[in-house]
Amino acid sequence: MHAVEVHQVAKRFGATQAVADVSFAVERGEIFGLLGPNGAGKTTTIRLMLDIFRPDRGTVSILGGPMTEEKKERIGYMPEERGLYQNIPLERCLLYLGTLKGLPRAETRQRLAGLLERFDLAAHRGKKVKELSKGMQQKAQIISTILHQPELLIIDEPFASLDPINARAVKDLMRQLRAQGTTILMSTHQMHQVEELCDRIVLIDHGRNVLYGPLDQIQRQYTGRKVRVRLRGDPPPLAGVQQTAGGNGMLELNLAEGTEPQQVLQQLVRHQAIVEHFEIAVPTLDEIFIRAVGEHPDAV
Amino acid sequence: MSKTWLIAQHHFLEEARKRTFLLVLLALPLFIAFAAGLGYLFSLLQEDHTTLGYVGPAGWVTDPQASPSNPDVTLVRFDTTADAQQALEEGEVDAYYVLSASADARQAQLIYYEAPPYSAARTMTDLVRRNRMAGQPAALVERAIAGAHVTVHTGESDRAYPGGDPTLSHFLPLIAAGMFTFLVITTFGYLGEAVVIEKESRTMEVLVTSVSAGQMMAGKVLGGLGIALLQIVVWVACLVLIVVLGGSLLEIEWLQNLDPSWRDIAMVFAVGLPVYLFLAALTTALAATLVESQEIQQMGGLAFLLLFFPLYLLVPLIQAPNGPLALGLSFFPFTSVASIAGRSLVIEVPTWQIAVAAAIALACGIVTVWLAGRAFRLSMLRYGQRLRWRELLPGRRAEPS
Repeated sequence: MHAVEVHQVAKRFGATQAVADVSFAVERGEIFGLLGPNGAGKTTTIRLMLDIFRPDRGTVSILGGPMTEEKKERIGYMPEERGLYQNIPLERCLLYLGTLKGLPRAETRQRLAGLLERFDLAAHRGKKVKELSKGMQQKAQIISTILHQPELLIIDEPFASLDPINARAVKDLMRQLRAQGTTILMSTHQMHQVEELCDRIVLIDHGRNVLYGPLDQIQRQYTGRKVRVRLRGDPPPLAGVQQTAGGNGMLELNLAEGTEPQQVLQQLVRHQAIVEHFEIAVPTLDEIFIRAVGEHPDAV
Repeated sequence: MSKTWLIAQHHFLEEARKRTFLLVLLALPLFIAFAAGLGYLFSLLQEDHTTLGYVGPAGWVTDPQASPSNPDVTLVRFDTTADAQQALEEGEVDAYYVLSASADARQAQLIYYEAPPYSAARTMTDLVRRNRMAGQPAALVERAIAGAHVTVHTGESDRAYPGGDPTLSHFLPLIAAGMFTFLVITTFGYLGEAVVIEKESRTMEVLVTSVSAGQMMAGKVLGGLGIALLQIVVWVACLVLIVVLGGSLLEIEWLQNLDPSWRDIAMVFAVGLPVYLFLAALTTALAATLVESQEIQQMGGLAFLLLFFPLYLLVPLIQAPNGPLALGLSFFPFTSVASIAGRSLVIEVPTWQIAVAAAIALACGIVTVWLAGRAFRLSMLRYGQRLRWRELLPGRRAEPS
């Protein structure tokens, strides 16, 4: 049974089709990336999953069925727009949000003490939330999301406003939670974080699926379009190579449609070029993102 | 603890912890106590010991001790007018009476440079009356001294004022209505701010993934009700304290012998509760459509004007308490509580009118709760964007957020 199943959902606001046709499933215990450019429909999709909005079409199954009040206590949600009470002390704010997730007050207090220590916020527990820095508020928001130890964690831009040290702490936390069996759905624009953390992704654009599947499989799909070579001497003319770029002696060859890396290597050997380095470049997720989105400019 | 109670407790405590709340809580009783104290002090300053002289033949006053003692008045008898005049000029007396030679003539002259207080003159009058009735049964004397008992009946109903004028007891429903209005205003500001701040701070999106919209709204309304009840309890306790202290210890006459009409007070509550529900739901619906917390304060000012509107029209309401204006205002939820309380000064408002006013307010309340829920759901994630009222109509699609 999947933790989340989104099947052909669509949502329109007035004249705007926010989500046209999005489908994906999140497996239990994985970190799943929900990616897409600004305005692609990611946040609306998350709100549809959480039953904040009802879809015009399609179905959403979360933790084995429709959203219920009981399931809200098994889900942790951190929205892109952070939501903490600004005018009350941090500890009181987090205690309140924790108890709303069904935790007894004493247990909430106990867990909170540990998490405040872990995120270096213990000394600031009595300060009003508005007096904390953006990064501290971000950490506080993360604490409020995981305080009740949810089965499913839905987090939107978890690394925003975090310095590298705190970003690492959050990444470690996410890996730890995954190891404990927590399912994590993460939406972010920071592709290197996705590459580091996610098992599978869905990329949506203009409210539709563009890419979906295991991250390594997707990367393999886009592999073979580029090779990196270092030659001693000038490169010979190569058929099937669209563009050449490079620096520091390394050439990046973008291959034309139908050209395989092996054919390029055969050409180099045929021209008796001295090949010091030959590598089939695995594209970064950034590159895949740009290419995939560029290939579907009018997805709706 | 249920989530509704958790939310109610949170909002109650957050509001109760504010300094402004403490100020509002104590401002009204302090103001009433200050006004009552000032009045009492003023009356004390007005009171002064008075010495009155009188000149008269035997037969007028045979027993100078007949009048119940008034510690503020001393009566001095003079044999001649010249003696009395000399005493007046030398300041030994504040004024003196010259009683006519014959007691049957029933004439007396009061000589003074500055008129003595009415209470002092009344002491002299009572003394003469008691002397004239010496030998009569005591009950008869007391009844005669008490004078006429005037009871005013209003033309529109059987409402009566035994003292001739409405007393504090008659004004209690109006005071209850005033308190209700202050409570509504407080709730308006509190509830509205709670909703707008949660929208502004984006907390709403976190909350709706923890609790249902119904739990959230019920919790807020209960929290507001708790604050309102705390205010009522404190205000009523202060009012009782003022009445007890003022009536028993300070002997302020209009605070003594209170005989409130419990029917009229119950009537204010019977209409006030559904009106409260209506206004609380309306506040939430309004707050959901607004963007900034400042706007809710402006709306609060408008609500204040509407709620107090019947008090501006109190004179026409009393002149025609069963007229179309009075009925219209009594059935309009915004003005019903103050109108009915105002009318109760001169008539006993018919039960059917109270029932109709309560039913209209309840119906409006139910519709507005539905509207508030819809407004809340449509606008909760609409940051910095106003919800248009026409979007609340069934079948209308929300604009993009």
